[in-house]
Amino acid sequence: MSDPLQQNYFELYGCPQQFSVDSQLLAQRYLELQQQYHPDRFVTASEEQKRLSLQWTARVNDAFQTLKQPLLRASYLLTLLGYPLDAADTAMDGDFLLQQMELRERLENIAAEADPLQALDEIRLRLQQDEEALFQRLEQRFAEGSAHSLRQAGEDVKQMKFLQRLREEVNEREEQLLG
Amino acid sequence: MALLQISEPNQGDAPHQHRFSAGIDLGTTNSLVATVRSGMAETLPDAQGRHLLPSVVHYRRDGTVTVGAQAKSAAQGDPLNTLSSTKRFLGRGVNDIKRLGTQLPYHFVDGEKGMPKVRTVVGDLSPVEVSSEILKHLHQRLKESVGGEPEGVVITVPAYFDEPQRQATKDAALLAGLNVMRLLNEPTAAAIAYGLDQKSEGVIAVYDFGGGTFDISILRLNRGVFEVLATSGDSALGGDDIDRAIATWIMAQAGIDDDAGHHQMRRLMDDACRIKEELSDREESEFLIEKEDGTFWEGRLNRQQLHRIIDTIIRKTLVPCRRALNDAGIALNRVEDVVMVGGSTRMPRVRQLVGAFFQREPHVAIDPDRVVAIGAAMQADILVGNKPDSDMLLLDVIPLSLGLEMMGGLAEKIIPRNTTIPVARAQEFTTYKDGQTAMAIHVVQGERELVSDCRSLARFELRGIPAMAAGAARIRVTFQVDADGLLSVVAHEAVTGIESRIEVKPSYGLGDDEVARMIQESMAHAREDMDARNLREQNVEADRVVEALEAALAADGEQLLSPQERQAIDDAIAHLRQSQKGSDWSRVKEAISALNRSSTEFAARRMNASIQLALSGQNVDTFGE
Repeated sequence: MSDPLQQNYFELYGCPQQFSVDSQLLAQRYLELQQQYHPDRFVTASEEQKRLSLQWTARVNDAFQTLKQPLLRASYLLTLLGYPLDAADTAMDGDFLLQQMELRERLENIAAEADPLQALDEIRLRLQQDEEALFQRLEQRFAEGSAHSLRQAGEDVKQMKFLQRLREEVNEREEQLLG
Repeated sequence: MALLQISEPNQGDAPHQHRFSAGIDLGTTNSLVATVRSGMAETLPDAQGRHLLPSVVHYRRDGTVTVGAQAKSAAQGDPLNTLSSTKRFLGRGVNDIKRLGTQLPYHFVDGEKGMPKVRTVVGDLSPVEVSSEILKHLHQRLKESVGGEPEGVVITVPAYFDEPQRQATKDAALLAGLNVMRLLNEPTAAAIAYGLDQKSEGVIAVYDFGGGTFDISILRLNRGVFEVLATSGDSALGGDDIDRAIATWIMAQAGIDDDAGHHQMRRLMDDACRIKEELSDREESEFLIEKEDGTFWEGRLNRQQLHRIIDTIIRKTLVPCRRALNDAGIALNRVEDVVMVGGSTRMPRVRQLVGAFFQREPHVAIDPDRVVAIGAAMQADILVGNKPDSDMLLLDVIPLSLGLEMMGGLAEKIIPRNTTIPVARAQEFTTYKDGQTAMAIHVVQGERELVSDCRSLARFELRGIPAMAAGAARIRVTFQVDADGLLSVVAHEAVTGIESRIEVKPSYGLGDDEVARMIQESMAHAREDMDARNLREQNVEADRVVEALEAALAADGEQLLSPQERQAIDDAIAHLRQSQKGSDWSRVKEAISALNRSSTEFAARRMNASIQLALSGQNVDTFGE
């Protein structure tokens, strides 16, 4: 028997430890765990039990966020498998960086384009395609599971972070243009 | 699927016993208390049959305090010592209050840690202390009408209340001797009162038009999660404006000068309010207005004329509605339910225009002044354990992001807004100078990039970091937000294993010590009463704990505990029973704590066992490829 604070997120949610998750089952499990552990269920219980309930529910919430989002899930899974991402390692694939710089440059000068909003949509579409491709690549690498694949998966996760940040900047830029 | 029940005290096998709880709507203008009796939630009236308690407190030189209608009538004679609208200052700093405007006559002075106080004949009082008088009054009403002490209460707060405002509300309740089970968002309470939480999903608009303020909240319900998507409003728009518009019309018709005396204006406002209420039921109203010279003016007003006078005011509320929908990113036609709150929504014209705007018939069956308190009482009833079979669970989110100040005055978000609570997040930081032994930590709340644009919650220093090279120390800052949205921050240095923990208290609530001091002061003259009450409370608590534990032991003790572990718990129970034979409540309390400590592991194993069972009930193959 194990303590939720000791179990890893996949164990806590009863999901197989792999990159693919069934998001519907995840949501269902989330509600079941909430029903059992939420502090509202322990309002009249002892202080010790209230404290446990608070810690466990916080863990349930954190696990849900991590398992739900592909990027967080991939980083977490890599850590579990013994290939944690090194934040200090900023080396990136050259071609990828070049593409990113081009997109960024276009984003910076977007106001000068004939139709800035249209241009933003183009960038957004491009990012979405890149993210989908990365997602599929990640699935393959985790399924393959060799040391080489997992190290490559780490590179993919770093790229995914890049794309996500750029997508946020596109959204901010759009608000500026609209506002 | 049927969820496994954990046999906790509130769900035990013992014969069902009704636990007494209540919901409190602590309002800006009026406050109410409600409780569930025989399955029905109802607000409680005072001896004169009045349900609404005006949120007004009057302090007299001799130290007596009056609350409600009686205090309100003192406002004219003693304005500086008659405090109203205190909710607007709860959890606010001195600077916030200056920004709120100066239409109130009170004399604010700086208290400790930037906490404002109001100068009165009985001394400088914090908004927390003033609000606690209102809560004490309702607490008393509750005890008298039900004949006992509630096990716990749910208090409602506006959805936009930030952390210090929530903390201050809780502090006020603590001072009033109430056990707060949960703080609940007002719009969520209104939705619960209408049973909207029973739906599986949907978008709900809660339109709250009170005497002096207007609030609109857009909620989304999804599989038991109530999420506040957006709030908007106008803090200077209310039913009073409607009365004023009618009064202005009367003055023009009756030939009363704009510079009519204060007394005349007051009477005109009362007349206007009465005419407005009359036109809710009738097509036309006839009335006599007494002028200052003692002559009378006879007037009449029909509904159509009324609409021409007040429509502009009602339409003003639709602007924030539109803004809130935009903020939430919700199209008008996706709003499935519209809930009406606040006395001004009694007017048929308000219902009509709001219904037309949202293209939905609004919910109006429950008294709009009481609907929030009723929803709070229903939630309290579930929390206290009267509905063990209820699947309902409100999962709340934090309204604003929590973060830390980084170098350069930038705010780094640790917990983003709309994160489901409770939540705990940790982040590691390091030193930036060689030999640095202290680190300033500044906790902020808000969505903006710059710290100066966010709300400052707390500052503290982590000291005693061993001198190391820059970047070598590992300082882990953990944010924990409980189910009420209240925050504690802990920082500790990990590399050396030396631990320095600091719990942060919000700047504008009261420190625990201060609350303790105030409680002691208020009870000093009733020392013996207090001891007796404490003993009684501790004995009740002891019985409850032992009863629950024995039920749990009977169910799972054999399976989950070794003989030695079982013996330790049995010993702790015996020790507690022994302590109850004496008259020292603190010994009983200690024995309860000791018993809780010795049974924590058992409780953890039981929670675990039940979830293992829940999980093994599923076919592992269905978890997905």
